[in-house]
Amino acid sequence: MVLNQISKTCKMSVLEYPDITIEHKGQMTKGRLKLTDSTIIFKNSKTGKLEQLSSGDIDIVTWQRFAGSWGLRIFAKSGALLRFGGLRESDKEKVAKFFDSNYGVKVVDKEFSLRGWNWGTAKFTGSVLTFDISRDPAFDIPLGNVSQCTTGKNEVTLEFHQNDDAPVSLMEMRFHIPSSELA
Amino acid sequence: GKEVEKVRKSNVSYKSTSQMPKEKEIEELKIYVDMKYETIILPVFGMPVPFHISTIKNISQSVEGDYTYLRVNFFHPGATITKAEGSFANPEATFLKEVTYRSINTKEPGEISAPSANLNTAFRLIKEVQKKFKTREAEEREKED
Repeated sequence: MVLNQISKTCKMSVLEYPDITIEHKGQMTKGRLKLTDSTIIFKNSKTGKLEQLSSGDIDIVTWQRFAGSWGLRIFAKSGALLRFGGLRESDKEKVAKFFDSNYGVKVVDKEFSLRGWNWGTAKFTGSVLTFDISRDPAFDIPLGNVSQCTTGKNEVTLEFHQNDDAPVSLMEMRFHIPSSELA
Repeated sequence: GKEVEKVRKSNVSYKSTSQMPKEKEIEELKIYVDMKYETIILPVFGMPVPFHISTIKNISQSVEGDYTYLRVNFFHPGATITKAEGSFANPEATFLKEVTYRSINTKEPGEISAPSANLNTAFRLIKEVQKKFKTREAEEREKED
């Protein structure tokens, strides 16, 4: 049934996935993802709130593993980051083809680091801090989640807005910054 | 004698995605302790992120009001006296020093356990893996000498 629907809508240049999640304050929130020929639309199934991104505002799109599923990591030209989980590995080809033919954007595979190290490089892309370990990202911090940032000697502390809907909520992260980078 | 200080080989948690455990806790973005690969998996803005037990210096837990807090301190260059500067594979890198998580102590109707149960379990299991790892490391050092 669902497959039929998808293949039908695909011909109309629309891709729709009903069971998708969006990363919001550290939680994956359920909703429906609709890709039209010009816009990415996500509808939060609990609040009905819409997240929209028009295709001209897409900067970089990568395909990645999430917790128990696969999905998209979309950097907007505004610097914002949209992350959609709940896709399957087998969805990749169709999604990539859709992005390429409708938006003129290549979906690039991105492996996340599983090394288990706590040292790497902090990189900024728009309003996102990505911690890279040996060139692969280990995690992303969308900086809108930061409630306070303080610096000390060779140190940066990030405090985050709390999310009581999350079973465990990340409160604070502290980084050691080498002297060479402080110069 | 040898004057160059020995840099210990960095332990790696997983060589590929297929080695990552597929547990409910990970999918729910809770903390998971992988006893087999001696790794703790921490949720960071939607991503389960592995940290090998050898990167963890100590952990602490506290209960304040309605919340339980779990703090993880990692090894990093600088302040530590337990590990010499020279023993870091990459002292010029940026190091994650510390993370703190918070969970609610009270159950919602229909919940089997309070969310903080995850932090309590994580605390206990991290201590266990850490003890096992330290014992083994000490044994290996003895053999080397």
